[in-house]
Amino acid sequence: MSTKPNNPDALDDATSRRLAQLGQRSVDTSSLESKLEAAMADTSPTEMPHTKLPGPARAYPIRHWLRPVTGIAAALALAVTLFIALSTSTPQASAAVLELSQLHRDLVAGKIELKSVASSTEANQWIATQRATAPSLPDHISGARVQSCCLADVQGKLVAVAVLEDGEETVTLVVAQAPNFAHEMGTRIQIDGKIFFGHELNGIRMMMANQDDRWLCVMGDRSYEELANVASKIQF
Amino acid sequence: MEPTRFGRTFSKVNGYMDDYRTNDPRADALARFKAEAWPLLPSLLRVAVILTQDQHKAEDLAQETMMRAYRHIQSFTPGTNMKAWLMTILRRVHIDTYRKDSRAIDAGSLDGMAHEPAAPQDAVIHEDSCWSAPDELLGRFDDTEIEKALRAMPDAMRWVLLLVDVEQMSITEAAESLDVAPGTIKSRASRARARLRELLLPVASQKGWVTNCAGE
Repeated sequence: MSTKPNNPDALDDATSRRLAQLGQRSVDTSSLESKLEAAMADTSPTEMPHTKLPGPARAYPIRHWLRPVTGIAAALALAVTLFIALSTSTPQASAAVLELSQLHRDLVAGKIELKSVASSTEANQWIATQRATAPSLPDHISGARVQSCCLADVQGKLVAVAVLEDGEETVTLVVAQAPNFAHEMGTRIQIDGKIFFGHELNGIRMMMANQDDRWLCVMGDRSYEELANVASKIQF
Repeated sequence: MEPTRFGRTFSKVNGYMDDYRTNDPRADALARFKAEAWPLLPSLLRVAVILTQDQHKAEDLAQETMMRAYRHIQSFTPGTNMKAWLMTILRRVHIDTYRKDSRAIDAGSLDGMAHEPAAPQDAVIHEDSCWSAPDELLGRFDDTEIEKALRAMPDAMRWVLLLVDVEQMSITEAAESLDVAPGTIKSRASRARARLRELLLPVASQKGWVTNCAGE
């Protein structure tokens, strides 16, 4: 499993050796250990062993669809939709777009259980209790309010999902801790120096962007410009 | 004793077997956490100190990381890498906690890939003339100067160096922790080391350790 970088560059090797010295320094963990012992005494693990994500994520994985009859119908529909998507885009982008559009549809149809929240702060507090490695939602979304949230699985990645309300039709925000999660392609819109890329599938439009090391997508029954406008006001 | 999925792991750890045998979920979780996560406390604190430059903040960061890991210990898959998992949590906690207050971190230190230099070719070209004895020159920098340079780097670059070079994690482990491809880790590590030297060069020049180099 272990494969240290095999770098012939002597400069790189020297730099690596110097940095390794930082890792050899001793640290005093006694104070931290005391604090942890005290904190752990009042805390219990919250997750059940090897359960799937609670709520929506548990309902979302594809294998859940693979039940008799409904599973076959869903697979056929998936194949047709995927074929259409593949004929107009790259495989990776299409698969992500397909899953995202389905996610939005399921949210709108009420098929996914959502946690009602009053703010992104409250949403992030709830997300933190669900999965330790879950990506957090942006702190600031000007002009829109986070109504509810959930965690889901898209392309095998854990994503945070928020339903945003800005006085019009609700839009879905998806955040992944993975830069370049979906291909940057499609309709390109630039606002305040930020570049957004749009896709459309089955009437669902979505605008995607990379922000620092995160990837975000805003989608809904809106124009690209409106979605990009919402996305441009998001700040982590 | 009836074999269980965690039996092999805990059989290595004296002192926690009794907890494990209770079949009490909380005791099991505690035993597992103590056996697998607790020994990594020094690594977490060391990285946290580098990130925060402050012992108290570092302890808070490491504590929140450990508590988050403890609360979710049962979602950790046995047999996978605990250190990679903890480092992922540490990174998330650091981002969540300190990004909110831009004054808490060095300006630009979390700029991420958006500003990551594609390939600092100029610096590399000049490096040859400045780093003729790289080990000796790098050894002259204080740890604090190296750490300062690390903090001035884009987040994605910094974390590769923290995991691969400082914490000596494998490419595979770092890739798992940062959720990128192993190939990305390799190329990013090389660029990050070049960037680190680029950041250190003006310091070396200022101190008169090098002459006629880039960055002067």
